[in-house]
Formats: sequence, structure tokens, C-alpha cells
Amino acid sequence: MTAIEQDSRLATWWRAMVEARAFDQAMCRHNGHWHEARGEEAVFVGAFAGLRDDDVLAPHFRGACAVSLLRGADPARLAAGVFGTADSPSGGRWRGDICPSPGPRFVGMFSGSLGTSVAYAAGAALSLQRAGGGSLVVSAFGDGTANAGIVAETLNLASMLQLPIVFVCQNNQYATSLRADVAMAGAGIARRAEALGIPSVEVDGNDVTAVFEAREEAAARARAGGGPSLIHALTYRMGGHYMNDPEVYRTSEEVEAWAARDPLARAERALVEAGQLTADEGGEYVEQRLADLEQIVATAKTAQPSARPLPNSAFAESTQLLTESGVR
Amino acid sequence: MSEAIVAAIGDAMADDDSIYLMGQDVGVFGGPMLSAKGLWDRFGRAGRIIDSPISEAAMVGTAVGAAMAGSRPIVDLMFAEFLALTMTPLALEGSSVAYRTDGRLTVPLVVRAKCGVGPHRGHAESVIGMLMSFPGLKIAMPSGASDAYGLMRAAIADQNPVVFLEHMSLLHGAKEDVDTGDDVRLGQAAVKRPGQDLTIVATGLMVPRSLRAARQLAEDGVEAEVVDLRSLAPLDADCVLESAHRTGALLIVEESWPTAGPAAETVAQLLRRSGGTLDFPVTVLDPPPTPIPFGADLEAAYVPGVDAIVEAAKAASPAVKETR
Repeated sequence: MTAIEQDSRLATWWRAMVEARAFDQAMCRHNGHWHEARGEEAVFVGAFAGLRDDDVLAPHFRGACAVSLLRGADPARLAAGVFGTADSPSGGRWRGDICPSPGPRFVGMFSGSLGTSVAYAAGAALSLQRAGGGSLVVSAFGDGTANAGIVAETLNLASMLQLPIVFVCQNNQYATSLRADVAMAGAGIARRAEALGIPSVEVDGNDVTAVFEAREEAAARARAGGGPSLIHALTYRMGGHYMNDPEVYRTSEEVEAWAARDPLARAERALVEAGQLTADEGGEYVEQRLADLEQIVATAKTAQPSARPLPNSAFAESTQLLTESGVR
Repeated sequence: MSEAIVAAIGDAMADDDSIYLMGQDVGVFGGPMLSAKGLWDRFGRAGRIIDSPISEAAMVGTAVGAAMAGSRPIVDLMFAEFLALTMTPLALEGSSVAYRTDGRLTVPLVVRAKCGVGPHRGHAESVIGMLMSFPGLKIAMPSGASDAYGLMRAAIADQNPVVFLEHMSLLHGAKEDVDTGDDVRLGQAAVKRPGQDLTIVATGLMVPRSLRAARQLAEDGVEAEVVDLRSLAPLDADCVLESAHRTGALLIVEESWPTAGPAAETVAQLLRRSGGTLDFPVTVLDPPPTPIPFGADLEAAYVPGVDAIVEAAKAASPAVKETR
């Protein structure tokens, strides 16, 4: 057994971050509509790793596919969802990049509106609270989303009802082009949450261990009936908001400075220093996963189109009739 | 009618633990206009009656999320004029979930909203046209207690988001025996009065007003058939088409805004079903495209009244024209 196969927590998270990056970078090459998540992996891997099967995951759109992968999604099917082809879980009816695995235990986005999924996550937490059983919801949202009115309403309601939910602000410092430190008046989202009685912490969002440990503390509180918590994880969006973003709103020096704090490289260095990995092994593993995911995504892109009949109604019964009748 | 709605909710909650009710003042206060009367005593201790802060978007947003996670929420939104605050989670997104997940995930959710002219003047907007434009959203509107019970039970049992419109002039109106075993389905209109000279189609307050108008018309020898749509979405155009085809004339009486609303949609659906030509004349009696005025006299002039319905029916009915 090589060192890399030994299952330390950090090695597990590092592999999850490599998987996320490999899927993300393949999508950057093949999908002009992709929202690159490079640089933010430590936040969504740290926040969503190691949860229970009956917990509800509500990731931010940037990182949603990576969180699906964490929960065991098949990358080929995820990619089909992103391209809207025949094997898409929705039959091509909805975009799989922002809504990869919608279900009773996974919250997705059902339009481009930001903030509603935070309310859906809190609703899921209300449902779990009423059912008992100690399960919880992790709800991640960006610094831009943090300013949506429905998020403010939801934070208040979650605190009032002491819902079992962990809010994670995945602050990549930009809402498309607007800097978070400009857009968010006052002392930031953690102070806002504290004002509502929600225990909050600031963590280094490029340190996967720090994010995970903060999530664990918050999760323990939620499972014990202690209500919501908020984690403000400061990270950096290494790519543009979308492919071909001119990025006129920031300097290359700033981007380079944050590239030096790449969370994957940081975790890999720590593994090497701990003797759990050699630099060569790390490099080979990353190259292999990049190549594997490149192959999967490239294949998915050329898959058959959905070619589904268009139903004449959006009511659940109409949709299900089509599905049950075998028209797929 | 209010007691029938509350009874339907209470009976459904007794049958199904996954149902909860959230709304402003629905707790010990008993709900706005007694809309949750008695429910706090029955279900409050179990945490199933949740008094909400003034956060309409989050009330409905959390309900959409809870519904996706397995609960069956009922949100008492108080007034329909608050619906616009909730449209992204309720209509744009929540009502799209079944379609967008290929039917794997549904949003069984009821949003109650009081509307129409009535004792709470200043909250009359029903915004029905706005609701009707969203695919996947059902809209029910009872005109009496018996239908109200059955429609609420059907709304709670439905897999889709349903907006349940409660007309404020009818909530605390005439008492009526309720048949709790009556099978009322969403999307099914009801003939409230048979007739052969013309068809009047209406919802909410316009139903009892049309029935009163029909009684006056009968004194003049005109027998009007009155159809209560009961649901605006799905809209039972087949029932209207059959009735108007039989009577030979159609009068649509509507309280809400005329542009892209129930009257316009009824006509459009009749045309689609009939292949583009109707074998009967269609008349629409509805308010002007303005906000509902506040002054009592202006409000009375704005909403179709019994006399206006009688006049419109006489003008619309071929039976009257023949006797002239």
C-alpha cells in the first residue's frame, strides 16, 4: 500500500479537491457556460465532507457538482446533466451545473436567482427538525448572495426557530465584478449573523482542515439542538465569474498572489511534509485524475441529445405520466 | 366558509403529521380574520402551528424547501397582495421543480391568501393573472363553504404548489352545510345553477352575485346557467365550452384585473379547444385595468355588481334579443 492510499482525513479531502478541480477544469475546456470554481475547493470540500447520509446538502452553485461528486455521484452522469443530453438526470429539462442532484437530501437551484436555495435549505432543516433524529443541513452561499433579502429573512427565521443548519459563506471576494468588501456594508456576514443570535466564526477558506473543523463544531451544535451557526470562509475565485470574463475589475498581481495560496497545493504540501505522500506521487495522481475527467467530460459533450417529447403541462402528474408511460 | 377551510386543515393535519401551518399571527391569536381558529389548541404544542415574522419570501421559501424534503407545508400569507413578495420561490422556481426534475421531486405546498373586496378594504388585490402565468402552479378559489372544504383537502393532497384564494366577502358569510365526503377535484368547475338561455362563468364573490342576478333574470324569463370555475389553474374550459355551446351565449364575470387574467385566459382556452371559432357570442364584464380604488363608492363602482351582471346578461342572451 502506498502512502497515498492510507486514509488520513487530509488525504481524503485532498483527493476530493483534486476530483473537484479535475471536473471543473475539464468543464472549463468543454463548456462555455461553466462557472469556474478553481481556488474555492477547500470551502466546499471542508464544509460538505463527512456528513451523514440523512443530512441535507445545499451547496453554492460554484462547487455544486463537486459536492455531488463528494456524495458519490457518477461524473459521467453529472456531465450529461451539465450538457443537457440524453443521460441527464432531468432528461435535459434543467441545467445540471447549478442543480446537479436535486432530491429530498440535496438542494439545487431552480432559476438563476441567488438566495432562494438558502431558504430552501432552511425549510429542509425545519422538516428535519420536525422529524427528529439529529440530522442537519449545510447551506453554502457566496458573498454576493449574502446580500439578498431572502437570505436576511432566512437567517432570522432559522435563528428564531433554532433550526439544525450550518450556514457557510463561501466568500470568493467577488460578486461577478463587485468586490465583497465594497458590496457588504458594515463588518461582514459573520457579524450580521451574530446580531441575529447565530454563533459565527471566521476561517481561512483555503485551509480545508480549518473549514472542516469549524463545520464539525457547528454540526455538533446543530445535532444537539443548539440551532444554526455560520462559518465565514474567506477564499478567492482564481478564474473569472464565467468563461471569457474580461476581469477588468482586478489586477493580475492580485490573482497571482492568491494563486500562491492555492488550497490544493497547500494540502498536498502538508501531506508531503507529513510523510503521507511524495511530491512525485502527488503529481502523478493529479495528472491521472485530470486526464480521466477530461476523457469523461469530452465523451459526455458528444453524447446523444435528449430528444424527449415536450409535455403539455408542468404539473407533477403530467410529468410523471410521461415518465411512467415509458416515454423517456 | 372560513370555518370550513379551517376544518379541512384541521382534519388533514390530524390525518398526516407531515403537515404544518406557518403564518403571521396564526398562533394563539387564531389567525388573521380567524383563519386558524382552534388550530393552536390542537396542534400548537406539537410545533405544527408556526407564528412567523414578517418575512413572506422566507415563509414561502422555507415551505418550498420543506416540501422538497418531505413535509407538506401550508403557508397562511394573510393577503393576496403579499403574493408578489414570494413569486421567485413559489412560482418561478417552486412550481418548476416537478418539470425540471422530470417528476422525481415535487413541491406539495398550499399558500393561503385572502383577496377581494370586503371588510378589510385596502387589501383587495388578487393578482390572479400573475399567478396564472406560471406553469406548474395551481390556483383554487371557492365560492362557498362546501366547495371550500373539498378544495382545501384537494389542495393539501396535491403534489403541486397550490395558491388557495379566500375571498374576504365570503369568509364570514352565509352558513352552509358542508359535506366533508364530497369529492372536489382541483381543475373541475361546477354548475351552480342550470339554465338554457346563456352561461355565466364566475369565481369567488362573482358566483353568488351571478346567482342573484340569475334569480332576477328568471323573473324576466331568462334562465341563466351559472358555472363556478372553482380553480383558475387548471381551468376547466371543457365545462365552460359545453355549457356555452348548449345555451348559445357566454358571459364571463370577473373581479380581478382584465389584462392577461382569468377572463382573457378563459376566452383563449375556449378558442384553442374549439379550433379557433366559437359558435356562441362571448361577453366579458370586468373592472377597468387600474388598481382597486379605496373609497367605498369607487370600489363599488369598480367591481361588477348584481345589476351590472343582469344588464350584461340581458344584452348577451339571444333569448332576450328574440323576445325584443
